[in-house]
Amino acid sequence: MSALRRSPALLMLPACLLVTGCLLLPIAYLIGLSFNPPVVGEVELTTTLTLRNYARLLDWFYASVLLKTLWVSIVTTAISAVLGIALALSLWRTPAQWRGLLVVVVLAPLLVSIVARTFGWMLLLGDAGIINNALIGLGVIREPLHMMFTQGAVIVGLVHVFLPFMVLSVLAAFDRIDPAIPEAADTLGAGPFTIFWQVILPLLNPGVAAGVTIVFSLAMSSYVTPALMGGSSAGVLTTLVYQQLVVTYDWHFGAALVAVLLATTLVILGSVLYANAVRTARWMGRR
Amino acid sequence: MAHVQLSDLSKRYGVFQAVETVSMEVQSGEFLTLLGPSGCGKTTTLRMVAGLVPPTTGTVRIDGRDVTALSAAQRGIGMVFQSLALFPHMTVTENVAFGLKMRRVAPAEIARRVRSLLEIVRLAHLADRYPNQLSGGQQQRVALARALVIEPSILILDEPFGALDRKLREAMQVELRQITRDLHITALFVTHDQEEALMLSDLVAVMNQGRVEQLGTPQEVFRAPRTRFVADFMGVTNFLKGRWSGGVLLAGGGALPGPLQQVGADGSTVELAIRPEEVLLQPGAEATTGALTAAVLQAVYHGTSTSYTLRLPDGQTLMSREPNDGASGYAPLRFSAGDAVTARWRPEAVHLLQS
Ligand SMILES: Nc1ncnc2c1ncn2[C@@H]1O[C@H](COP(=O)(O)OP(=O)(O)OP(=O)(O)O)[C@@H](O)[C@H]1O
Ligand SMILES: [Mg+2]
Repeated sequence: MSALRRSPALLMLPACLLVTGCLLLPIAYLIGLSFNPPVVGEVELTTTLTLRNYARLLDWFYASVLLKTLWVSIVTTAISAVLGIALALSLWRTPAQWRGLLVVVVLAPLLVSIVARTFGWMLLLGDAGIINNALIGLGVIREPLHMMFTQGAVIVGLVHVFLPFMVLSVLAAFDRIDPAIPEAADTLGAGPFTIFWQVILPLLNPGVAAGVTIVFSLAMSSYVTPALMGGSSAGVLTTLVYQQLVVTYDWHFGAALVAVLLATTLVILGSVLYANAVRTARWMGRR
Repeated sequence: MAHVQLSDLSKRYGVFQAVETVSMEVQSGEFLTLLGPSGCGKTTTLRMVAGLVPPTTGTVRIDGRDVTALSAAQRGIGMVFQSLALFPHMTVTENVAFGLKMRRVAPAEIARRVRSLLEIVRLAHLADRYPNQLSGGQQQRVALARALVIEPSILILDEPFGALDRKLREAMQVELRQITRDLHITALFVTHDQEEALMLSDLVAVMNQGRVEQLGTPQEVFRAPRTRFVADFMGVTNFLKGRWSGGVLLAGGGALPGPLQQVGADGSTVELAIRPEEVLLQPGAEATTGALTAAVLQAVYHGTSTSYTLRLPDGQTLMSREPNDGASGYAPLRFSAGDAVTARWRPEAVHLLQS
C-alpha cells in the first residue's frame, strides 16, 4: 500500500496501458498508413513515405467538406451551449426533490438507440412528416418544407444527442457556485439579469469549457446522425472516411482524412481552451 | 441611521419552525447581536431582514416603513455573508465597486469611493488581487468593504469572523466597532461566541430553537440571565433548586442570603443560577443564615484560578471558583477533597430563572 502511495505513476499504469493499447496504437497505425502511397485494398504499413494522400486534400471538394464539418460542429456546439446553460439553470433552480427526476428526463436521449432516435426525427421532419402535415393542414404552407436530409436536420439531430453532456457539465459548475454569491449580488442592488450575466455566467466557465470540449469533439467525429439525417448533400468528413474505407477501399486516403479530422479537432479545441485558460487563470487558481 | 423593527417574524420550512415569532427593535446606530447555538435560526432571521427569504408571518420595518415585500436589492442593506461570498472572478477593486456600478455611480466617483474604503480596511495595496490570492483575514475585509461601500444605513454580518484566528479576530472586532460608530450604521451581527457578543454589542438577543429567549444589554444578559438556557449560554454552571418559605429561599439544606423578592406562594419551587466566581468559601462548617455548609468533592487547579466542586447537605452540587491572584497564587490550594467549608455569596448574585 505504502509503495503504491509513494508512486502515483504505478497506479496510473493500468489506465495508461489500456489507453495506449486500445486508442493510441490504432491511431498511430492509421496515421502511419496515411503517409504510405495509396494502394487500393492494401492495409499493411510500408516504409515508402509520401505526401500524395494529403496533396489530394487540396482539392476544393475536400476542403469544402472539411469546412462543412467544422460549420456543423461549431453551430451544434454553440446551440448546445446556449440550451445547455438554460436547461442547467432551470435544473439548478428546481427544488432538490424534483431534480433527480428532471436529470433523468434530460438524460433520456442517451437511453434511446441512435437509430430509433433518428427515425423519430424523420417522422417529425420528413416531407410527409408530422410538422409538414400539421402546417399544410392548418393552411400555413402549401408545399412541404424540405427539412429532412439537410444540414439543419443534422444539427438538430446532433444537438438532441449531445445536449445531455453539456447540461451535466454545466450543472456541475452550477453546483460549485456558493449560493450566497448571487445573493450577495442581490443585496448589492443587482437585478436577476445582471446577476446572471455578470456573476453566474463567468463562474460557469469551467463547466461550459468541459461541455464544449465534449460536444465539439463528438460532433466532429459523429457519423450515424449525419449519415442518416444529412442525405447526400450534407456529407461531412466522417461519411467521407467511411466511403474511403468501406466503399472505395482506399485506406491510405481514408487515413489521411482521419488525420486531418483529428488534427483540426485538436488544434481548434486546444487553442480555444488555451485562450480561455489564459484569460481565467488568475482568478481560477486554487485556493 | 436607520431604525429596524421586527414584529412577530416567523419562518417555517415545511413542518419545521426555523424562526418563531421574533419581535425586536434596534435603534438607529445601535449594534445588535443575535447569539445562540448552531441551528437556532440566527441566519434565517437575518436573511428575512435582508430580504433574501420571505417570512412566513410577520413584518420587517425600516424607519417605520414596512419593507417585508421589498426585494433585497430594493432594501439597500449591506450584508457580510457567513461564507463571505466574494465574487471569485473579480479583483478586490471590482468586488468593492460592484454595488456602486449597480447604482450607476459615475466611474470617477466609484474609483474615489472604492479607494477610500480600501484604505479604511487597509487593503489599498492589494486592490488588483483576486479573492483566491488573499488570506482569510484579507478576504474578510474585502467582504466588509464591499458591503460598506454602498453606504448602507443597516449592516448585517453573519458570523463574519468565524474562520479567523483569535488575534486577527480581535483586531477585526475592534475595527468593525470603530467603523460602525464612525459611519453611524445600525448593525445586526450574528455569532455563537458569547465573548464576542458581549464585547461588540449595545444589545444582545439570545436565541434558542427559533425564539429569542432574552433581549437586553450585554450586562443584563450576562448578569441577570432570565432563563436556564441564557444562564447556561453565558457560562453560569451552578443551578440549584430552591423552595420559598416566608420570603426566604431554602436551597441546599439552608437559607440563601437575602433579601430576595419572593415570586410565587410559600412552598413553590424555583430554579436559581449562581456564577461559580460569586461563591465564596470559608474553612469550617458553620451553619448560619445566609450561608450553606458543604463538603469539598474535588479541587481543580486552572492556573489563574482554582475551582472547587462542593456537595451540599441536600445532595445538590455547587461549583466555586476563586482567582489565584496576589499572594494566593503562590500559596498551596486552600481546600482539598473531604474538607468541610461554608459557602456564601452576595444576595444579588442569585438569578431566579423562569421555568
Ligand atoms: N432552506 C431550508 N430548508 C429547510 N430547513 C432550513 C433551511 N434553512 C435553514 N433551515 C433550518 O432552520 C434552522 C435554522 O437555520 P439557520 O441557518 O438560521 O441557523 P443558524 O442559527 O444560523 O446556525 P449556524 O450557527 O449553524 O449558522 C436549522 O435547523 C436549519 O436546518
Ligand atoms: Mg448561520
